[in-house]
Amino acid sequence: MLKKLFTPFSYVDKRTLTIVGFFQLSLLILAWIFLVPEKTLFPHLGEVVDGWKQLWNNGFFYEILASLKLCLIATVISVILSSVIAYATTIPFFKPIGTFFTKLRYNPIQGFTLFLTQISGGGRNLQITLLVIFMSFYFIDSLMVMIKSIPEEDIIRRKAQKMSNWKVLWKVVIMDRLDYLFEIVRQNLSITFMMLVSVEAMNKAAGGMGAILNDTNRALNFPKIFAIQITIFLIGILIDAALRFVINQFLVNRNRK
Amino acid sequence: MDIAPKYTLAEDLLVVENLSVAYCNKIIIRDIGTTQIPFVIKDIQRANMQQGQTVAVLGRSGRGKSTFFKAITGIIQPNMGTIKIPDYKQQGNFRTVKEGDVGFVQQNFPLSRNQTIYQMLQNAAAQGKIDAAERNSIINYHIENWGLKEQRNLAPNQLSGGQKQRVAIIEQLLCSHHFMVFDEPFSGLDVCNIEDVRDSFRKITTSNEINTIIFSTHDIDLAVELADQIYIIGYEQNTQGQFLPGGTLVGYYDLKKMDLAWQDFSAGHRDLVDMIKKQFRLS
Repeated sequence: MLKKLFTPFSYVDKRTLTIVGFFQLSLLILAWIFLVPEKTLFPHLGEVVDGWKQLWNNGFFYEILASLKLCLIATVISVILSSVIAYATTIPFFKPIGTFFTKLRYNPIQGFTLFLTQISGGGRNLQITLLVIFMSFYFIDSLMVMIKSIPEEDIIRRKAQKMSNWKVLWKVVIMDRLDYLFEIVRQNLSITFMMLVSVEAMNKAAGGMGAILNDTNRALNFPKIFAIQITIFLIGILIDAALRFVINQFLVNRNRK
Repeated sequence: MDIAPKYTLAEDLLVVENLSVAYCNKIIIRDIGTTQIPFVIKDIQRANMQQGQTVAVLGRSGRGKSTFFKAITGIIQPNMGTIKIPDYKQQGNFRTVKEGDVGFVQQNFPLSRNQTIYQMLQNAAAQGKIDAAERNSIINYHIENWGLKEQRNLAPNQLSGGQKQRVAIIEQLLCSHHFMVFDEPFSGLDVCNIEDVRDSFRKITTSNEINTIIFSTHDIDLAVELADQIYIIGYEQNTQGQFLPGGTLVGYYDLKKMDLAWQDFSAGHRDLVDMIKKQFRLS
């Protein structure tokens, strides 16, 4: 078994891999406890736990809720907008527009925030606008890649069934690949989370984990920074698991051989 | 001694005339259905039985068989020529084939990813404008008849290759009714699955007089065994021996006239296989 663990492409069962994962995590925690020197900027595990308790007592739960709410609103708006734009690229007229949006991924937002503040009215709306814009570029790109990879046979099959081009779009691209939409959200949500923290730091009045992280970072309170980062990491894992659960409810995944 | 089955030919069921298709100025197929080699499928009639038509289209890779099939099914529009089928709304008239008139069972039997077999067949029946009240009973009949009762609520990724193909066939039966094109139906199938496809062909062509199967294959033995007529698509050569661009009909064998149709594989079939192989090399 040990040899298998270190041989490329070897099959190792899920249970063994879970044990290996826990072992590696334990090693990391033990190294953190015992190998970090006494006097260093790098916080000890106990300090991080204390920092987290302080945060919790100061209403960290509500900051988490604020961040999740912002994330949810922005994701829903972004998914709707991106889907409309990406699905519209099956219509030749809209293809250049969709392609243009995907290329905007390379542009930084600096320099545009003033215009966006004017348009959105600032505050929470600005945060949502920024997140929606950024997420949408990535969503559109991933959705267009998915649409491009649809085999021609799938489209021919539906056409041979007397379906109009609009019905083929609905059946083949949208309904039959709805699980991909959730998968794309899952894959790109990490970018959303990274952006979320930066965006929240821009308008601290609205709260959120990003605002707290920004303040804590300025104060160089490393135990609290670690506590916030670990919280963000764990929430990310939970959201990922929740989306995986939704994806696994689709027939194609539920009945995988 | 075998007695050759008697048959008569009734009205035309599918007529292809001077068909040419080109993509980006590249000729893929040209002049299919000319006076030299007409592409006309007629209703075969045999006494005391339903006898549909089985037409094989043979040809080496890249000769345009798939393009020809896409044109016959109305999926692509030809640059020239026509494909006509009877207009059953106006007796005696013919009309140009449209998407959905001719069923198309593709090589990999694509099915929906997120629908059960039953849901897919419901969709196909609705597309075929089968009355909603009759839909369930017709679908159930096909599911039973094609041995898919146990699989009705399964997803496509739970089916074997043969089962997927049967679902694809039923879908087309439900919405396209009489004409069905099979692109390489034997490709990549094991011996048992090939037997399944043979049974499917038999089932389709003996269940309705008008039912017509057009299939392509690289397996000449199977084509000779199953078809009642065979068309060869290949490249024609000019007088200098150079290949002309675009696949066209270079051969036609009427197995009915040759007393080979609907018979067990015999020496006569073997001779025809050898003849077709020679023609293959030249086209």
